[in-house]
Amino acid sequence: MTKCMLEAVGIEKRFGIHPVLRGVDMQVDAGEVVAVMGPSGSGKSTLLRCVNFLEKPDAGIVRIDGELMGYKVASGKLRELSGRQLRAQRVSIGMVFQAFNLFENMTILDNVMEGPRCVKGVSKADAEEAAMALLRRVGMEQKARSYPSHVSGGQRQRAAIARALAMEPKLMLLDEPTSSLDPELVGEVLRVIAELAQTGMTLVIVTHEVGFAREVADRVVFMADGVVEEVGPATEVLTAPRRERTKAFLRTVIS
Amino acid sequence: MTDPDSATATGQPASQDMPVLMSLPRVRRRSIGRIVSGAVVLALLGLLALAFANAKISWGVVNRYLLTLQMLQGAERTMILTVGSMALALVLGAIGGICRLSDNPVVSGAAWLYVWAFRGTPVLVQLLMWFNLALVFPRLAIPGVFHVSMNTLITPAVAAILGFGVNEGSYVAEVFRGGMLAVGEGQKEAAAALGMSHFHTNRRVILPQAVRIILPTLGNETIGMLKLTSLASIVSFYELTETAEQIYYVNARVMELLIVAALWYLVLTSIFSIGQYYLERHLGRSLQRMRPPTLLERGIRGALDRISAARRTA
Repeated sequence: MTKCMLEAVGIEKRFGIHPVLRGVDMQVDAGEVVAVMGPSGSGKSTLLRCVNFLEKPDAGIVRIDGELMGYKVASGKLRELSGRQLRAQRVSIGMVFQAFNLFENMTILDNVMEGPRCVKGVSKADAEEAAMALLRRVGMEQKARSYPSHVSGGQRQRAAIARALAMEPKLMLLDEPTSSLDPELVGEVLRVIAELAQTGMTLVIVTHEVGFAREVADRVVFMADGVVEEVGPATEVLTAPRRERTKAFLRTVIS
Repeated sequence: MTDPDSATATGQPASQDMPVLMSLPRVRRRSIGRIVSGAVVLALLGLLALAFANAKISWGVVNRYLLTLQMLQGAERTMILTVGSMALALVLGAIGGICRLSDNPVVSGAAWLYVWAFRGTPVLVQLLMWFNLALVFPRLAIPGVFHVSMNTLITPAVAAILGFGVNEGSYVAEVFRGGMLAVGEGQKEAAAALGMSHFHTNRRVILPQAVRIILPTLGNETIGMLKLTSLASIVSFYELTETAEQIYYVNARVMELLIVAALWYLVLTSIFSIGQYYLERHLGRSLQRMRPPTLLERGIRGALDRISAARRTA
């Protein structure tokens, strides 16, 4: 039996009076690659951010590798974790952002070393060695000493993936990793992600790249209006969708 | 119509008169307005110079006092007061700015109160209050550990640095707050996703970027502070202005000594401006593709540009 890496049940999130997530369930097995798709405003990014508690869900439970996120059970109550405990949980969840969010004041190498150095207390030499190995893996070793603003968007995103991997996460969340890239740069980032999928890393990717999802993802979660509209094997959902909204969305994306 | 030899690089034939137009020499535009406005400004400057040349100013006296030991000491004390006050202001301002952005309402409220009180009252009043602190708190003491009389603690220098530093800190707190708000939200999120603490996020990510953003403003504040220190005479601190005053009380060369003081202020502000330029250049390295030139390089390049421009028109 495969291990469940991410289990989210009944996730709800409101911004003001505007409900973004209205009871979302999602399961992701260890080593599985899941693409979250759907029209903009359907709550895909918010769902991802609720998984690692960058946004605290208003309701619902998230478990990562069996461990309850953000809370502990104490005398029959869910007690909110301290900041320190929550940060420790986030270490095992890597996140890659649409806007890269590399630290602008550090070189790419320092960006990759920062997490291990200041959160895990890894020595400088060890952190540098590991960081260089990761940068080599994403094809960025030549740019290790460059600042983020001196390299292309595709290179920034590959560096950001290396930065997330440096924490040795069990699970990676990728929030539209290619949406702010020029078309000719999308391929290099998708290649890195596909290679990552091959290594057995558990990936949850919010993406609009239908072709990529079909090739790399095991399953597709299709969201609309803050609920999961359809879930299934990628080939099934993307080639023979059952729900009307999925069909309508795929028509607009592909044409 | 067109002959096949005059085809351009795009493969389309050029018009027949193009070769003629290409061969004509170019003449720069002359603007009458520029010449007239330049002449007017020069004339006004000349009149001003004439007025000063004929004014009852003894330039010999200015020259004699410019490099006297007294004035040098005054300049040094102004410099120390500026640097000391600004250092205190930066520490208080960084702490105040961070606290203002705290989620904890008590912490942000306290920082707001600090800014409100010290930005809302004149620095002259604050200087006098620090200087006269002994009237209300005769002794500073931690029972059983140490005690000291406030009169010995608050010397003119201490009162001046506290007065200017604490006052300026309230402005710098607002500058820091603005700078930290200008750093993108994504930077904080990325740090949170890595599991970095608030403290580490501020120290390693937010503050370094905020400082680069606010550096021009801080330079401005430092130069403002340099001149503001002339108020320190009110607490018997002998800085530049007070030194000049002490001399002209004796020799009655009022304007000459004020000119000496003014020249020294210009020298000091110039030093700070140059320092600021290089600091901005250094901190901007993560954003610029090419390093901006040093001041010397800038001067040489400007001269070369002018020479080549003159050659082209000649």
